[in-house]
Amino acid sequence: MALHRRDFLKLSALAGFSLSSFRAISETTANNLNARVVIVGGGIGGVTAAKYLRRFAPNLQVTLIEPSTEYVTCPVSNWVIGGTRDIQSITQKYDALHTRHGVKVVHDWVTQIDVEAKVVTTKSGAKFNYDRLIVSPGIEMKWDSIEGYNEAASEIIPHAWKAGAQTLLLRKQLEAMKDGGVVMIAVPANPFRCPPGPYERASLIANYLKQYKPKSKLIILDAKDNFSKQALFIQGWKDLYGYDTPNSLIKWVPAAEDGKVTAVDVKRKTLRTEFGTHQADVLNVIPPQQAGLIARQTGLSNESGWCPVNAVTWESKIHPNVHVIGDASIAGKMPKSAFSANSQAKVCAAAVVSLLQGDDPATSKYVNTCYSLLSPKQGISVAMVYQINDDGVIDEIAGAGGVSPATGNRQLEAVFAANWYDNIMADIFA
Amino acid sequence: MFTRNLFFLGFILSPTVLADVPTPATLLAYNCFNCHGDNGVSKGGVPSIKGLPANILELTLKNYRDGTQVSTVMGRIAKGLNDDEIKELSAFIATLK
Repeated sequence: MALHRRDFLKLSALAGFSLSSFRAISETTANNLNARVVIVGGGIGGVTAAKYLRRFAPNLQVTLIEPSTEYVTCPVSNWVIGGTRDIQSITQKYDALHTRHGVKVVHDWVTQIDVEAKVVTTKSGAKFNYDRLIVSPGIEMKWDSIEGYNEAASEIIPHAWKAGAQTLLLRKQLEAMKDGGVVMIAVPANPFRCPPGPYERASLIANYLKQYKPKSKLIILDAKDNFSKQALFIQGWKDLYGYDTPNSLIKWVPAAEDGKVTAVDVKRKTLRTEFGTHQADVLNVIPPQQAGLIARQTGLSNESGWCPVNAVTWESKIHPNVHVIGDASIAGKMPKSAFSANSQAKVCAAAVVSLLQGDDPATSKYVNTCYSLLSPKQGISVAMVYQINDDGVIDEIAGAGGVSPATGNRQLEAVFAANWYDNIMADIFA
Repeated sequence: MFTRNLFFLGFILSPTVLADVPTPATLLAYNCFNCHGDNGVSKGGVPSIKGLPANILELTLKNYRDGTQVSTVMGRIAKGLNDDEIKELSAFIATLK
Protein backbone atom coordinates (compact mmCIF):
# COMPACT_ATOMS: atom_id res chain seq x y z
CA MET A 1 0.00 0.00 0.00
CA ALA A 2 1.55 3.24 -1.14
CA LEU A 3 0.83 6.58 0.41
CA HIS A 4 0.63 9.17 -2.34
CA ARG A 5 2.00 12.61 -1.67
CA ARG A 6 -1.38 14.19 -2.37
CA ASP A 7 -3.10 11.88 0.11
CA PHE A 8 -0.38 12.50 2.59
CA LEU A 9 -0.69 16.27 2.36
CA LYS A 10 -4.44 15.93 2.76
CA LEU A 11 -3.96 13.74 5.80
CA SER A 12 -1.26 15.85 7.34
CA ALA A 13 -3.49 18.88 7.02
CA LEU A 14 -6.20 16.85 8.70
CA ALA A 15 -3.86 15.86 11.50
CA GLY A 16 -2.18 19.28 11.67
CA PHE A 17 1.16 17.83 10.67
CA SER A 18 4.08 19.33 8.80
CA LEU A 19 6.25 17.43 6.36
CA SER A 20 9.20 17.55 8.74
CA SER A 21 7.26 15.96 11.57
CA PHE A 22 6.19 13.22 9.16
CA ARG A 23 9.84 12.62 8.39
CA ALA A 24 10.76 12.43 12.05
CA ILE A 25 8.05 9.90 12.75
CA SER A 26 8.71 7.79 9.69
CA GLU A 27 12.39 7.65 10.57
CA THR A 28 11.54 6.39 14.04
CA THR A 29 9.24 3.83 12.46
CA ALA A 30 11.84 2.73 9.95
CA ASN A 31 14.42 2.55 12.67
CA ASN A 32 12.16 0.40 14.76
CA LEU A 33 11.34 -1.87 11.83
CA ASN A 34 14.89 -2.43 10.70
CA ALA A 35 16.98 -1.72 13.79
CA ARG A 36 19.98 -3.95 14.24
CA VAL A 37 20.92 -5.32 17.63
CA VAL A 38 24.18 -7.24 17.88
CA ILE A 39 24.90 -9.44 20.89
CA VAL A 40 28.45 -10.43 21.78
CA GLY A 41 28.60 -13.66 23.80
CA GLY A 42 26.40 -16.75 23.68
CA GLY A 43 26.17 -17.52 27.38
CA ILE A 44 23.16 -17.23 29.67
CA GLY A 45 22.84 -13.44 29.37
CA GLY A 46 23.43 -13.16 25.61
CA VAL A 47 21.12 -15.98 24.57
CA THR A 48 18.31 -14.86 26.89
CA ALA A 49 18.59 -11.31 25.52
CA ALA A 50 18.50 -12.55 21.91
CA LYS A 51 15.42 -14.71 22.42
CA TYR A 52 13.49 -12.07 24.33
CA LEU A 53 14.40 -9.23 21.98
CA ARG A 54 12.70 -11.16 19.20
CA ARG A 55 9.78 -11.97 21.46
CA PHE A 56 9.24 -8.31 22.31
CA ALA A 57 9.98 -6.95 18.81
CA PRO A 58 9.68 -9.59 16.07
CA ASN A 59 10.90 -7.13 13.43
CA LEU A 60 14.26 -6.50 15.04
CA GLN A 61 17.35 -7.82 13.29
CA VAL A 62 19.17 -9.66 16.05
CA THR A 63 22.64 -11.14 15.52
CA LEU A 64 24.41 -13.15 18.20
CA ILE A 65 28.17 -13.69 17.86
CA GLU A 66 29.75 -16.55 19.81
CA PRO A 67 32.83 -18.61 18.93
CA SER A 68 31.61 -21.96 20.30
CA THR A 69 29.02 -24.04 18.45
CA GLU A 70 27.65 -25.40 21.74
CA TYR A 71 27.58 -24.11 25.28
CA VAL A 72 28.58 -26.12 28.33
CA THR A 73 26.83 -24.49 31.28
CA CYS A 74 28.52 -23.58 34.54
CA PRO A 75 25.29 -24.37 36.41
CA VAL A 76 25.29 -28.08 37.29
CA SER A 77 28.94 -28.51 36.18
CA ASN A 78 29.77 -29.29 39.84
CA TRP A 79 27.48 -32.30 39.50
CA VAL A 80 29.67 -33.54 36.63
CA ILE A 81 32.76 -33.05 38.81
CA GLY A 82 30.99 -35.02 41.58
CA GLY A 83 30.27 -37.82 39.10
CA THR A 84 26.47 -37.78 39.08
CA ARG A 85 25.90 -36.15 35.66
CA ASP A 86 27.70 -36.40 32.33
CA ILE A 87 28.91 -33.39 30.38
CA GLN A 88 26.47 -34.01 27.54
CA SER A 89 23.57 -33.38 29.91
CA ILE A 90 24.82 -29.83 30.54
CA THR A 91 25.66 -29.01 26.91
CA GLN A 92 23.22 -26.62 25.24
CA LYS A 93 22.80 -25.90 21.53
CA TYR A 94 22.02 -22.70 19.62
CA ASP A 95 19.67 -24.30 17.05
CA ALA A 96 16.35 -23.02 18.50
CA LEU A 97 17.67 -19.48 18.71
CA HIS A 98 17.90 -19.50 14.93
CA THR A 99 15.12 -21.85 13.84
CA ARG A 100 12.44 -20.87 16.41
CA HIS A 101 13.33 -17.28 17.21
CA GLY A 102 14.88 -15.95 14.01
CA VAL A 103 18.15 -14.83 15.56
CA LYS A 104 21.16 -14.82 13.24
CA VAL A 105 23.83 -16.86 15.03
CA VAL A 106 27.42 -16.30 13.91
CA HIS A 107 30.18 -18.54 15.24
CA ASP A 108 33.18 -16.27 15.27
CA TRP A 109 35.43 -14.43 17.73
CA VAL A 110 34.85 -10.71 18.18
CA THR A 111 38.22 -8.96 17.90
CA GLN A 112 37.13 -5.33 17.97
CA ILE A 113 34.20 -3.12 18.86
CA ASP A 114 34.28 0.38 17.39
CA VAL A 115 31.92 2.28 19.69
CA GLU A 116 32.12 5.47 17.61
CA ALA A 117 31.29 3.88 14.24
CA LYS A 118 29.06 1.27 15.93
CA VAL A 119 30.75 -1.65 14.18
CA VAL A 120 31.77 -5.06 15.52
CA THR A 121 34.63 -6.85 13.74
CA THR A 122 35.34 -10.57 14.03
CA LYS A 123 38.46 -12.72 13.60
CA SER A 124 37.35 -13.80 10.12
CA GLY A 125 37.19 -10.11 9.10
CA ALA A 126 33.38 -9.87 9.04
CA LYS A 127 31.85 -6.56 10.13
CA PHE A 128 28.49 -6.04 11.82
CA ASN A 129 26.84 -2.63 12.16
CA TYR A 130 24.57 -2.10 15.11
CA ASP A 131 22.11 0.45 16.45
CA ARG A 132 22.41 -1.08 19.92
CA LEU A 133 25.00 -3.56 21.15
CA ILE A 134 24.64 -6.00 24.06
CA VAL A 135 27.90 -7.34 25.47
CA SER A 136 27.60 -10.45 27.63
CA PRO A 137 31.12 -11.86 27.73
CA GLY A 138 31.10 -13.50 31.17
CA ILE A 139 34.33 -13.70 33.10
CA GLU A 140 38.04 -14.03 32.46
CA MET A 141 40.54 -15.30 35.01
CA LYS A 142 42.95 -12.73 36.43
CA TRP A 143 46.01 -14.76 35.50
CA ASP A 144 49.07 -14.35 37.74
CA SER A 145 47.08 -12.56 40.46
CA ILE A 146 47.99 -15.77 42.27
CA GLU A 147 51.72 -16.11 41.60
CA GLY A 148 52.45 -18.93 39.17
CA TYR A 149 48.84 -19.49 38.18
CA ASN A 150 48.38 -18.67 34.50
CA GLU A 151 46.57 -20.22 31.56
CA ALA A 152 49.30 -22.84 30.99
CA ALA A 153 49.19 -23.80 34.68
CA SER A 154 45.42 -24.25 34.45
CA GLU A 155 45.97 -27.07 31.93
CA ILE A 156 47.59 -29.02 34.77
CA ILE A 157 45.83 -27.56 37.80
CA PRO A 158 42.29 -26.82 36.62
CA HIS A 159 40.14 -23.91 37.75
CA ALA A 160 37.04 -25.61 36.31
CA TRP A 161 35.30 -22.21 36.67
CA LYS A 162 34.38 -22.16 32.99
CA ALA A 163 32.62 -25.39 32.15
CA GLY A 164 33.80 -27.83 29.49
CA ALA A 165 37.32 -29.25 29.13
CA GLN A 166 38.28 -27.81 32.55
CA THR A 167 35.34 -29.60 34.21
CA LEU A 168 36.38 -32.93 32.68
CA LEU A 169 40.04 -32.41 33.63
CA LEU A 170 39.18 -31.98 37.31
CA ARG A 171 36.82 -34.98 37.18
CA LYS A 172 39.54 -37.15 35.60
CA GLN A 173 42.06 -36.17 38.29
CA LEU A 174 39.59 -37.04 41.06
CA GLU A 175 38.93 -40.42 39.46
CA ALA A 176 42.67 -41.12 39.16
CA MET A 177 43.44 -40.12 42.76
CA LYS A 178 44.28 -42.90 45.23
CA ASP A 179 42.13 -43.53 48.30
CA GLY A 180 43.69 -41.53 51.11
CA GLY A 181 44.59 -38.61 48.83
CA VAL A 182 44.09 -34.92 49.56
CA VAL A 183 41.96 -32.65 47.39
CA MET A 184 42.49 -28.91 47.82
CA ILE A 185 40.28 -26.10 46.53
CA ALA A 186 41.48 -22.48 46.54
CA VAL A 187 38.61 -19.97 46.65
CA PRO A 188 38.92 -16.25 45.83
CA ALA A 189 37.59 -13.17 47.62
CA ASN A 190 34.35 -11.51 46.44
CA PRO A 191 33.16 -10.68 43.84
CA PHE A 192 33.40 -13.77 41.66
CA ARG A 193 31.13 -15.95 39.52
CA CYS A 194 28.67 -18.16 41.43
CA PRO A 195 29.33 -17.33 45.13
CA PRO A 196 27.98 -20.64 46.54
CA GLY A 197 29.67 -22.66 43.77
CA PRO A 198 32.95 -23.57 45.53
CA TYR A 199 31.07 -24.93 48.54
CA GLU A 200 28.64 -26.97 46.43
CA ARG A 201 31.71 -28.32 44.62
CA ALA A 202 33.32 -29.25 47.95
CA SER A 203 30.09 -30.98 49.00
CA LEU A 204 29.78 -33.07 45.84
CA ILE A 205 33.47 -34.01 45.79
CA ALA A 206 33.14 -35.05 49.47
CA ASN A 207 30.11 -37.13 48.51
CA TYR A 208 32.21 -38.89 45.85
CA LEU A 209 35.14 -39.44 48.24
CA LYS A 210 32.82 -40.76 50.97
CA GLN A 211 31.53 -43.43 48.58
CA TYR A 212 34.65 -44.40 46.66
CA LYS A 213 37.75 -43.09 48.52
CA PRO A 214 36.68 -42.77 52.16
CA LYS A 215 40.21 -42.32 53.55
CA SER A 216 40.65 -39.11 51.55
CA LYS A 217 40.29 -35.49 52.69
CA LEU A 218 39.14 -32.27 51.09
CA ILE A 219 40.57 -28.93 52.22
CA ILE A 220 39.13 -25.55 51.20
CA LEU A 221 41.63 -22.68 51.39
CA ASP A 222 39.50 -19.54 51.34
CA ALA A 223 40.44 -15.88 50.80
CA LYS A 224 37.28 -14.95 52.77
CA ASP A 225 36.07 -15.35 56.35
CA ASN A 226 32.48 -16.11 55.44
CA PHE A 227 30.58 -17.34 52.41
CA SER A 228 27.20 -17.76 50.72
CA LYS A 229 24.67 -20.05 52.50
CA GLN A 230 27.43 -20.70 55.07
CA ALA A 231 25.25 -21.92 57.96
CA LEU A 232 23.38 -24.32 55.67
CA PHE A 233 26.56 -25.70 54.13
CA ILE A 234 28.23 -26.18 57.54
CA GLN A 235 25.14 -27.95 58.90
CA GLY A 236 25.02 -30.15 55.79
CA TRP A 237 28.70 -31.01 56.13
CA LYS A 238 28.14 -31.95 59.79
CA ASP A 239 25.19 -34.16 58.88
CA LEU A 240 26.84 -35.82 55.87
CA TYR A 241 30.63 -35.59 56.06
CA GLY A 242 31.55 -35.51 59.78
CA TYR A 243 32.48 -31.83 59.69
CA ASP A 244 34.11 -30.56 62.93
CA THR A 245 35.01 -34.12 64.01
CA PRO A 246 38.50 -35.69 63.83
CA ASN A 247 37.31 -37.80 60.88
CA SER A 248 35.82 -34.92 58.91
CA LEU A 249 36.05 -35.33 55.14
CA ILE A 250 35.96 -31.53 54.71
CA LYS A 251 38.15 -28.88 56.29
CA TRP A 252 37.45 -25.19 55.61
CA VAL A 253 40.30 -22.74 56.26
CA PRO A 254 39.13 -19.08 56.28
CA ALA A 255 41.38 -16.09 55.49
CA ALA A 256 41.76 -15.37 59.21
CA GLU A 257 43.41 -18.79 59.62
CA ASP A 258 45.82 -18.32 56.71
CA GLY A 259 43.42 -19.57 54.03
CA LYS A 260 44.32 -17.06 51.33
CA VAL A 261 46.38 -18.69 48.57
CA THR A 262 49.11 -16.42 47.24
CA ALA A 263 51.13 -18.74 44.98
CA VAL A 264 50.92 -22.02 43.09
CA ASP A 265 53.84 -24.37 42.38
CA VAL A 266 52.68 -26.46 39.45
CA LYS A 267 55.64 -28.89 39.48
CA ARG A 268 55.49 -29.61 43.20
CA LYS A 269 51.67 -29.51 43.29
CA THR A 270 51.66 -27.14 46.24
CA LEU A 271 49.77 -24.03 47.21
CA ARG A 272 51.39 -21.29 49.24
CA THR A 273 49.62 -19.09 51.75
CA GLU A 274 51.21 -16.30 53.81
CA PHE A 275 52.48 -18.62 56.53
CA GLY A 276 52.54 -22.08 54.95
CA THR A 277 52.91 -24.45 52.03
CA HIS A 278 50.18 -27.01 51.37
CA GLN A 279 50.63 -30.27 49.46
CA ALA A 280 47.76 -32.02 47.69
CA ASP A 281 47.10 -34.85 45.24
CA VAL A 282 44.40 -32.97 43.33
CA LEU A 283 44.44 -29.18 43.22
CA ASN A 284 41.62 -26.92 42.07
CA VAL A 285 42.51 -23.24 41.98
CA ILE A 286 39.61 -20.84 41.44
CA PRO A 287 41.46 -17.58 40.79
CA PRO A 288 40.20 -13.98 41.11
CA GLN A 289 38.18 -12.90 38.07
CA GLN A 290 37.28 -9.90 35.93
CA ALA A 291 34.96 -9.04 33.04
CA GLY A 292 35.51 -10.96 29.79
CA LEU A 293 38.35 -9.82 27.53
CA ILE A 294 36.28 -8.01 24.88
CA ALA A 295 34.60 -5.84 27.53
CA ARG A 296 37.95 -4.76 28.93
CA GLN A 297 39.49 -4.30 25.46
CA THR A 298 36.59 -2.03 24.53
CA GLY A 299 37.08 0.04 27.66
CA LEU A 300 33.74 -0.96 29.15
CA SER A 301 35.27 -1.92 32.51
CA ASN A 302 36.59 0.38 35.23
CA GLU A 303 39.46 -0.03 37.71
CA SER A 304 37.55 -2.82 39.47
CA GLY A 305 37.80 -4.99 36.34
CA TRP A 306 33.98 -5.05 35.99
CA CYS A 307 31.61 -2.92 33.87
CA PRO A 308 29.58 -0.06 35.38
CA VAL A 309 26.05 0.13 33.91
CA ASN A 310 22.76 1.96 34.29
CA ALA A 311 20.63 -0.39 36.43
CA VAL A 312 17.43 0.40 34.47
CA THR A 313 18.71 -0.15 30.92
CA TRP A 314 22.09 -1.94 31.41
CA GLU A 315 23.59 0.68 29.11
CA SER A 316 27.27 1.18 29.82
CA LYS A 317 28.12 4.23 31.92
CA ILE A 318 31.23 4.58 29.76
CA HIS A 319 30.06 4.01 26.15
CA PRO A 320 26.53 4.92 24.95
CA ASN A 321 24.49 2.45 22.85
CA VAL A 322 26.42 -0.44 24.40
CA HIS A 323 24.73 -2.55 27.10
CA VAL A 324 26.59 -4.95 29.40
CA ILE A 325 24.77 -7.76 31.22
CA GLY A 326 25.57 -10.85 33.26
CA ASP A 327 28.71 -11.66 35.23
CA ALA A 328 30.75 -8.89 33.54
CA SER A 329 28.50 -6.11 34.85
CA ILE A 330 28.45 -4.33 38.19
CA ALA A 331 24.94 -5.20 39.30
CA GLY A 332 24.71 -3.88 42.86
CA LYS A 333 23.56 -6.59 45.25
CA MET A 334 22.81 -9.15 42.53
CA PRO A 335 25.23 -12.09 42.59
CA LYS A 336 27.03 -13.26 39.46
CA SER A 337 24.66 -16.14 38.72
CA ALA A 338 22.81 -17.66 35.77
CA PHE A 339 19.45 -16.56 37.17
CA SER A 340 20.72 -12.99 37.64
CA ALA A 341 22.07 -12.86 34.07
CA ASN A 342 18.75 -14.16 32.76
CA SER A 343 16.72 -11.68 34.82
CA GLN A 344 18.96 -8.80 33.69
CA ALA A 345 18.81 -9.90 30.03
CA LYS A 346 14.99 -9.76 29.95
CA VAL A 347 14.93 -6.23 31.40
CA CYS A 348 17.77 -5.17 29.09
CA ALA A 349 15.95 -6.57 26.04
CA ALA A 350 12.81 -4.60 26.94
CA ALA A 351 14.87 -1.44 27.54
CA VAL A 352 16.66 -1.77 24.20
CA VAL A 353 13.33 -2.05 22.36
CA SER A 354 11.97 0.98 24.24
CA LEU A 355 15.08 3.03 23.45
CA LEU A 356 14.96 2.09 19.75
CA GLN A 357 11.36 3.29 19.68
CA GLY A 358 12.30 6.53 21.38
CA ASP A 359 10.38 5.62 24.56
CA ASP A 360 11.56 5.88 28.16
CA PRO A 361 12.49 2.43 29.49
CA ALA A 362 10.46 1.37 32.53
CA THR A 363 12.13 0.57 35.86
CA SER A 364 11.75 -3.11 36.77
CA LYS A 365 12.51 -5.39 39.66
CA TYR A 366 14.92 -8.32 39.39
CA VAL A 367 14.90 -11.84 40.80
CA ASN A 368 17.56 -14.38 41.68
CA THR A 369 17.35 -17.97 42.90
CA CYS A 370 20.39 -20.23 43.31
CA TYR A 371 20.17 -23.89 44.25
CA SER A 372 23.15 -25.83 45.61
CA LEU A 373 23.46 -29.53 46.40
CA LEU A 374 24.89 -30.78 49.70
CA SER A 375 24.70 -34.28 48.23
CA PRO A 376 22.89 -35.63 45.15
CA LYS A 377 19.75 -35.99 47.27
CA GLN A 378 19.94 -32.88 49.47
CA GLY A 379 19.51 -29.35 48.19
CA ILE A 380 19.47 -25.80 49.61
CA SER A 381 18.66 -22.47 48.02
CA VAL A 382 19.01 -18.72 48.30
CA ALA A 383 16.52 -16.33 46.70
CA MET A 384 16.03 -12.57 46.49
CA VAL A 385 13.93 -9.92 44.78
CA TYR A 386 15.72 -6.67 43.97
CA GLN A 387 14.72 -3.09 43.28
CA ILE A 388 16.65 -0.03 42.24
CA ASN A 389 17.22 2.33 45.17
CA ASP A 390 17.29 6.14 45.18
CA ASP A 391 20.98 6.12 44.26
CA GLY A 392 20.26 4.07 41.12
CA VAL A 393 21.85 0.97 42.62
CA ILE A 394 20.27 -2.51 42.64
CA ASP A 395 19.38 -3.34 46.23
CA GLU A 396 17.67 -6.17 48.08
CA ILE A 397 14.02 -5.70 49.05
CA ALA A 398 13.82 -5.74 52.85
CA GLY A 399 11.89 -8.74 54.15
CA ALA A 400 12.09 -10.64 50.88
CA GLY A 401 14.27 -13.60 49.91
CA GLY A 402 16.81 -15.36 52.09
CA VAL A 403 18.11 -18.91 52.41
CA SER A 404 16.26 -22.20 52.96
CA PRO A 405 15.06 -22.58 56.56
CA ALA A 406 17.28 -24.68 58.87
CA THR A 407 14.49 -27.26 58.96
CA GLY A 408 13.72 -27.02 55.23
CA ASN A 409 12.92 -29.94 52.96
CA ARG A 410 16.37 -30.79 51.58
CA GLN A 411 15.12 -33.73 49.48
CA LEU A 412 12.49 -31.62 47.74
CA GLU A 413 14.98 -28.82 47.09
CA ALA A 414 17.35 -31.35 45.45
CA VAL A 415 14.51 -32.37 43.11
CA PHE A 416 13.72 -28.70 42.44
CA ALA A 417 17.41 -27.96 41.77
CA ALA A 418 17.48 -30.50 38.92
CA ASN A 419 14.12 -29.26 37.68
CA TRP A 420 15.29 -25.64 37.87
CA TYR A 421 18.19 -26.51 35.57
CA ASP A 422 15.95 -28.11 32.93
CA ASN A 423 13.44 -25.29 33.11
CA ILE A 424 15.78 -22.29 33.00
CA MET A 425 17.76 -23.87 30.16
CA ALA A 426 14.50 -24.31 28.23
CA ASP A 427 13.64 -20.66 28.92
CA ILE A 428 17.01 -19.70 27.42
CA PHE A 429 17.90 -22.25 24.74
CA ALA A 430 14.54 -23.75 23.62
CA MET B 1 -9.57 4.82 0.36
CA PHE B 2 -10.10 7.24 3.21
CA THR B 3 -10.27 4.34 5.71
CA ARG B 4 -7.07 2.95 4.30
CA ASN B 5 -5.35 6.30 4.66
CA LEU B 6 -6.57 6.67 8.19
CA PHE B 7 -5.24 3.21 8.93
CA PHE B 8 -1.90 4.18 7.50
CA LEU B 9 -1.80 7.38 9.52
CA GLY B 10 -2.50 5.36 12.63
CA PHE B 11 0.36 3.09 11.67
CA ILE B 12 2.72 6.04 11.30
CA LEU B 13 1.65 7.62 14.54
CA SER B 14 1.92 4.41 16.56
CA PRO B 15 5.33 2.84 16.11
CA THR B 16 4.73 0.96 19.36
CA VAL B 17 2.35 -1.42 17.58
CA LEU B 18 5.45 -3.00 16.08
CA ALA B 19 6.79 -4.12 19.42
CA ASP B 20 5.17 -5.51 22.51
CA VAL B 21 7.28 -3.96 25.25
CA PRO B 22 6.34 -5.63 28.54
CA THR B 23 5.38 -3.66 31.62
CA PRO B 24 7.57 -4.04 34.73
CA ALA B 25 5.11 -6.52 36.26
CA THR B 26 5.09 -8.56 33.05
CA LEU B 27 8.88 -8.57 33.05
CA LEU B 28 8.71 -9.94 36.59
CA ALA B 29 6.42 -12.69 35.27
CA TYR B 30 9.08 -13.71 32.74
CA ASN B 31 11.31 -14.56 35.73
CA CYS B 32 8.72 -17.18 36.74
CA PHE B 33 9.72 -19.24 33.68
CA ASN B 34 13.20 -19.81 35.13
CA CYS B 35 11.79 -22.31 37.64
CA HIS B 36 8.35 -23.00 36.15
CA GLY B 37 9.57 -23.66 32.61
CA ASP B 38 9.62 -22.18 29.13
CA ASN B 39 6.47 -20.07 28.77
CA GLY B 40 5.27 -21.53 32.08
CA VAL B 41 5.41 -25.21 31.08
CA SER B 42 7.56 -27.17 33.54
CA LYS B 43 9.54 -30.29 32.70
CA GLY B 44 9.36 -31.81 36.17
CA GLY B 45 8.52 -31.44 39.84
CA VAL B 46 7.98 -27.68 39.89
CA PRO B 47 4.37 -27.11 38.75
CA SER B 48 3.48 -25.61 35.36
CA ILE B 49 1.73 -22.24 35.59
CA LYS B 50 0.83 -21.45 31.97
CA GLY B 51 -2.78 -20.35 31.61
CA LEU B 52 -3.78 -20.91 35.24
CA PRO B 53 -6.73 -18.72 36.23
CA ALA B 54 -5.60 -15.27 37.36
CA ASN B 55 -7.60 -15.36 40.59
CA ILE B 56 -6.07 -18.69 41.62
CA LEU B 57 -2.53 -17.45 40.89
CA GLU B 58 -3.16 -14.22 42.79
CA LEU B 59 -4.58 -15.99 45.84
CA THR B 60 -1.83 -18.62 45.86
CA LEU B 61 0.95 -16.02 45.63
CA LYS B 62 -0.60 -14.00 48.46
CA ASN B 63 -0.92 -17.16 50.58
CA TYR B 64 2.74 -17.97 49.94
CA ARG B 65 3.66 -14.40 50.79
CA ASP B 66 1.95 -14.36 54.19
CA GLY B 67 2.91 -17.98 54.97
CA THR B 68 -0.67 -19.33 54.94
CA GLN B 69 0.56 -21.79 52.34
CA VAL B 70 3.90 -23.55 52.94
CA SER B 71 6.54 -23.51 50.20
CA THR B 72 10.25 -24.17 49.73
CA VAL B 73 11.22 -21.01 47.85
CA MET B 74 8.06 -19.33 46.50
CA GLY B 75 7.19 -17.58 49.76
CA ARG B 76 10.64 -15.96 49.90
CA ILE B 77 10.15 -14.57 46.39
CA ALA B 78 6.50 -13.55 46.90
CA LYS B 79 7.62 -11.38 49.84
CA GLY B 80 9.33 -9.14 47.27
CA LEU B 81 6.12 -8.50 45.31
CA ASN B 82 3.38 -5.98 46.10
CA ASP B 83 -0.37 -6.49 45.54
CA ASP B 84 -0.43 -4.65 42.22
CA GLU B 85 2.49 -6.65 40.85
CA ILE B 86 0.89 -9.92 41.94
CA LYS B 87 -2.39 -8.94 40.29
CA GLU B 88 -0.81 -7.89 37.01
CA LEU B 89 1.65 -10.75 36.65
CA SER B 90 -1.10 -13.26 37.52
CA ALA B 91 -3.32 -11.76 34.81
CA PHE B 92 -0.43 -12.04 32.33
CA ILE B 93 0.35 -15.68 33.17
CA ALA B 94 -3.37 -16.50 32.79
CA THR B 95 -3.23 -15.26 29.18
CA LEU B 96 -0.28 -17.47 28.17
CA LYS B 97 -1.16 -19.93 25.43
